[in-house]
Amino acid sequence: MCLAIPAKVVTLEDREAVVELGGNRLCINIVLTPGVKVNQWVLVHAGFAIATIEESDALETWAYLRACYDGDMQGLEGEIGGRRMNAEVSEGVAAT
Amino acid sequence: MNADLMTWRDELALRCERIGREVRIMEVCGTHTVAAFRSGIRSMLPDNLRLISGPGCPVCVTAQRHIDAAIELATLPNVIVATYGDMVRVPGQSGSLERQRANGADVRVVTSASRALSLARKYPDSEIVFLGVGFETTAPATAVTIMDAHRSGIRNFSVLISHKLVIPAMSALLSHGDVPIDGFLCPGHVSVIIGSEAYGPIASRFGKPCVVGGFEPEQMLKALVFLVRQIERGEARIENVYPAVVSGSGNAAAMEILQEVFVSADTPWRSLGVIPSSGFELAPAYRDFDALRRFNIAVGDDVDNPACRCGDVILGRIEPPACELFDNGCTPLSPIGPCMVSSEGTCAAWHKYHKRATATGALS
Repeated sequence: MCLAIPAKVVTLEDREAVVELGGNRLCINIVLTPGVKVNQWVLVHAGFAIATIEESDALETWAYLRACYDGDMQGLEGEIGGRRMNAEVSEGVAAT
Repeated sequence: MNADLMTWRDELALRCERIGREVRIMEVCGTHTVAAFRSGIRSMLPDNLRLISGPGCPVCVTAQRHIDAAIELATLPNVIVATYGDMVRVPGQSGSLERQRANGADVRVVTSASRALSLARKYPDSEIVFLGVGFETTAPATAVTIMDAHRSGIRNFSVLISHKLVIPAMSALLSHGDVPIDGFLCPGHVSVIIGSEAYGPIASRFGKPCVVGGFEPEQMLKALVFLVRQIERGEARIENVYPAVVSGSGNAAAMEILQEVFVSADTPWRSLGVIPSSGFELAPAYRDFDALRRFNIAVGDDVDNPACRCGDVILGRIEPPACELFDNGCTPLSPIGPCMVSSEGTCAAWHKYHKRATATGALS
């Protein structure tokens, strides 16, 4: 439950960012990483970016995660807790 | 196996042989627990290196009394309990949130505190109670969400605060004194928040080496080698071998938000009792968001199944197969103790990855 997973920031808007993670786009909160920029990599935990990291480190971690989780992307999404962009409409979830 | 892994493995073996006794290293992170099994690290360890899984699984250390309080909250009319997934199956004194849900209670699984606040916006006529569990990695998300609720004037949102702090737990284990530990493999992502320097008291006051490590096989083996080097030399320092994400001082923004929303509090841990200053309560400005206060819920005591030895597992006194319930009435499908509930629980990890263990399980 303390696992944090690297994701790349695609867009920024106020206190939130859309990040790309394993082909999915998720909306996360970025107030814990002030100054984060588009195209930077962040570590995501429970729907929040908790640190910025270098791309090389992020890619290395992803290589490990792909091998270790063997494609169980759903399990990883459960760990990082973002809001799926395509789920936002169907659930009618307001932005927080 | 790549060359780096072999290098670290060989140095680990050499140094452990030179130390010439059992070397006991505790990790205090559920993700390390699982990664050690999943990646095969455990099978690479020297025979005399014991990697003990300490109180690092947030689900496992949540006091039964807090589960009972969550269940009581879930039975109240018009209340929706929102929680991270693993919590729904943790047994309290009478059933679990999962069972309450089967009985008609509204219990929702969320993957973020902010999703719980979204529920409060979506259902303004209901009361949303979020279960705030987890260590320092997770607590900032709860804190930010409470600040958001406060700022937005959302009145139908509250939190059952059950967050835990890792350093007081490590100190309590060492003060307890009956479980010998030579050093700590410190949790990588907790340390992102608190910083590696936070382990200073463990190194200086208790004389135990602390090495912050990542979760990949090389990172974990490297951290173990750095620990064993210190143990062999009789040193007790903090080392950070996960510098790509962990700094000395941690995440300043997160620490500031934690200090804004919470104050430290004596907190009950499952099987460990109340540990001084090992958790949080809400700071005065945010106390209206305290679910226990809002709904006038009295927190009782823990009454564990006497046969369940999760406490001894969490303390590192035994390994799971030494518990008579392990795989004998207590399984991930039908857990009795919390360590079998969470996928990061020590018993669940042993069940999944170490079923063929033939050892009696008792630590020498």
